[in-house]
Amino acid sequence: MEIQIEERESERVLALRGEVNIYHAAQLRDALLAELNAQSEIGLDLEHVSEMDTSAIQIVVALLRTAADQGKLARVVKVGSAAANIIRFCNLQDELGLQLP
Amino acid sequence: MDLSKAKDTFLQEARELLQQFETLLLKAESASLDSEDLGALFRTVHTIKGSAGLFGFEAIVSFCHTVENVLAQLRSGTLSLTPELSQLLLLCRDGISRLVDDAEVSETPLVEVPEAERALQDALASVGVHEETPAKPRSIPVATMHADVDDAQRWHIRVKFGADVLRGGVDPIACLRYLSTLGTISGMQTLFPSLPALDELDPETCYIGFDFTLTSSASLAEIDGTFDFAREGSEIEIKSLTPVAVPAAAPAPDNQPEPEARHAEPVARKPGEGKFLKVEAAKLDRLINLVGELVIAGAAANVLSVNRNDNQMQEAISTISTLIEQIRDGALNMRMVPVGEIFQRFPRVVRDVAHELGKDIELRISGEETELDKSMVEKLTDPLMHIVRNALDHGIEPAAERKSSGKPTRGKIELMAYHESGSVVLEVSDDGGGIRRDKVIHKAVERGLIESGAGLTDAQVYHLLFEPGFSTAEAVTNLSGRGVGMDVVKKNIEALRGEIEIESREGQGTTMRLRLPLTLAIIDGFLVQVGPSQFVIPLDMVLECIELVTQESRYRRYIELRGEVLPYIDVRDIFDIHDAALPSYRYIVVVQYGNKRAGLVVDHLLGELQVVIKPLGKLFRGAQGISGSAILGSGEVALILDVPQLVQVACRQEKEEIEHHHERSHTEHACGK
Repeated sequence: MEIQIEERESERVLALRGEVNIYHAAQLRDALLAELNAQSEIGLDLEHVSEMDTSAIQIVVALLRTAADQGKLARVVKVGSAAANIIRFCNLQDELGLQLP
Repeated sequence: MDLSKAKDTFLQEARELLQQFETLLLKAESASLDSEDLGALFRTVHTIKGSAGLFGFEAIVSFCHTVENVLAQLRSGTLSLTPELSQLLLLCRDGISRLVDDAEVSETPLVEVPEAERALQDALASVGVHEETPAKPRSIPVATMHADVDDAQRWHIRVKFGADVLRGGVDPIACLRYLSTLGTISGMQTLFPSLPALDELDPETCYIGFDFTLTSSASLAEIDGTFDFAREGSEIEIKSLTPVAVPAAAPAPDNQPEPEARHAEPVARKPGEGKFLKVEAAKLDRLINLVGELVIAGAAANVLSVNRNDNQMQEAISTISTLIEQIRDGALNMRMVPVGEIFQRFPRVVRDVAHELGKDIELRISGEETELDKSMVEKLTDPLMHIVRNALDHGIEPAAERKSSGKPTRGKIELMAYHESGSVVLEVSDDGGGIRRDKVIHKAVERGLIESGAGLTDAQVYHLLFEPGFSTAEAVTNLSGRGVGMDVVKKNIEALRGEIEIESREGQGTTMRLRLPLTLAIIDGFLVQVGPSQFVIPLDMVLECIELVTQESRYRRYIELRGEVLPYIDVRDIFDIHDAALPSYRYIVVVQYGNKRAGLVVDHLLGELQVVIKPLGKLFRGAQGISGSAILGSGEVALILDVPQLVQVACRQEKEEIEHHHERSHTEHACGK
């Protein structure tokens, strides 16, 4: 897994790349937590994620929920086929504020 | 390290793994194996190989290695499990089993693989090389092909995965993905009931749960099996949403209530699941002996406290008694094992024997979770095996004969176990030709066992089968019919204080029913007094107690109890207790054994107690009407009544009396008017 912080048109985005699974769960949580503590708006780009598992899904859900509780905004800005697939399977579109075909 | 002990563990483990291996392969013959099954198949052999290596059993290592190679290809999908391969693998299982047996007895471990196994090894190796078929995700044996969409069921499934599931290397979503290959998932709701805030979240703890509907034609066991690796700490609930419909064409079998129960109930735990501790059997026996002594000592303390009229002490002792009772139940329970342990050997036996005989036979097993005493399990295997072989060989007719009598060509054998008033019942039934009464009688007369068949009831005729040297098979086959066995079966069962019942209908099939006592050591008893003596009746067999109106007893030996005739016998008569004064009120204890009831007339009812069964000495072994003795709290000895025998005596007496009565009225009729 790679995490890149990209500044895109007026938006700061965390882009994840490659396999995001239990082996990277601790790293992912720490990175997201650091971002959450420092920013009030977080965008998450899952377009180039090649694989996601349960641990990754629950961290993403926790990020969105925690941000909402703190009055901040975290959202998934883009999904690729791997991420879309698992989100659709778990029927988490609403939870993640996504509209997937 | 004590190597011989470790070796024992290895041998035991290897045999258990081989059993698992066999079960999985047999499963493959009727249902497709999923990737988890194939993984499990691989692991069994892999584990045996690994442990065998530690002990230097080179032959086992080398042989397992070949088998493992093929299994690895099955697992990866480069090879598919054909019936031929499955047969070959079963033979290999036997090969490994022989090598393990050899490792147990021989001083120097085999280094070279023996010839028979080498041939198998070669056969396997050739399978592995040649059949490089294109990758298939899962092989589907022919048998499952006709599992059509019509029998798809809807299941409501709720799962909350345990916190440690992720750490255990299982991905819940992947589990469900696999489940979705068995059918269609709809209405998926992913739940995070206890998901903490991000800063408190442990990245490796699992918080996820699901709630959805699955439409699938897979069996409950298959669906449930999906969660096998994630069971620990997880809450899994699977409920059927499809009402159970009995197909109109099939006649409703009357003794088969289980489909409904199986579908409506949340998943029952399979036997053999969970964690186990291996304990030396002798240790457990010592513990149970001590518990037995504790029961006796507790009873003695109780008697003392009652005699002293010390209320506080009585209270304390009654608490102790309750605890002793629980300890007793717990200790006895440790010896209980599910009967599935015996049953699981049968699919292979039935399959092989059916092959050998060229018959198509289906085996159904139910009640495998029924528990019985471990020591009994060991002694039951051979008799049961014999009965099943008999059913396969003599019971089920050849296909042609079945066809001509309008039966499905596929024969059916059913193994069933259940509990019934203090007994465990094991049933073996077949839908074969039944026992032919005339043949049995003919043979028995020929052998000089009886004079003629006149006046014998069916049950009496069937019991002739248990006479030594009796066999009615027309052709002596390799399997049974050599005339040895059934008498040994009967002896074995009787040694366990059990009984065999035979039910048979010509042309429709035979049922052999083994009825065995639930425990061997400690029972709840009901204490009664007759004259100066005290007797114990096993409480499980007692139905109720009623008062006896004394005048009636002189004329007849039965009473009417709520519209039914209840024969009874007087315990005074059985044991010739006639010198003691007859009390003005006496009681009938109504007991039940199997489907028969009878009354036992006693002087006083003294109440319930726990007793430790002490076997009778040699002198009394032949005594009628008693099955053992027990030491009471007061130090006195009470005899335990042999209820099965007494019930039989009472029923026989009743019958004789009725016949007698008939005769009398006949003669009166003829002479008088």
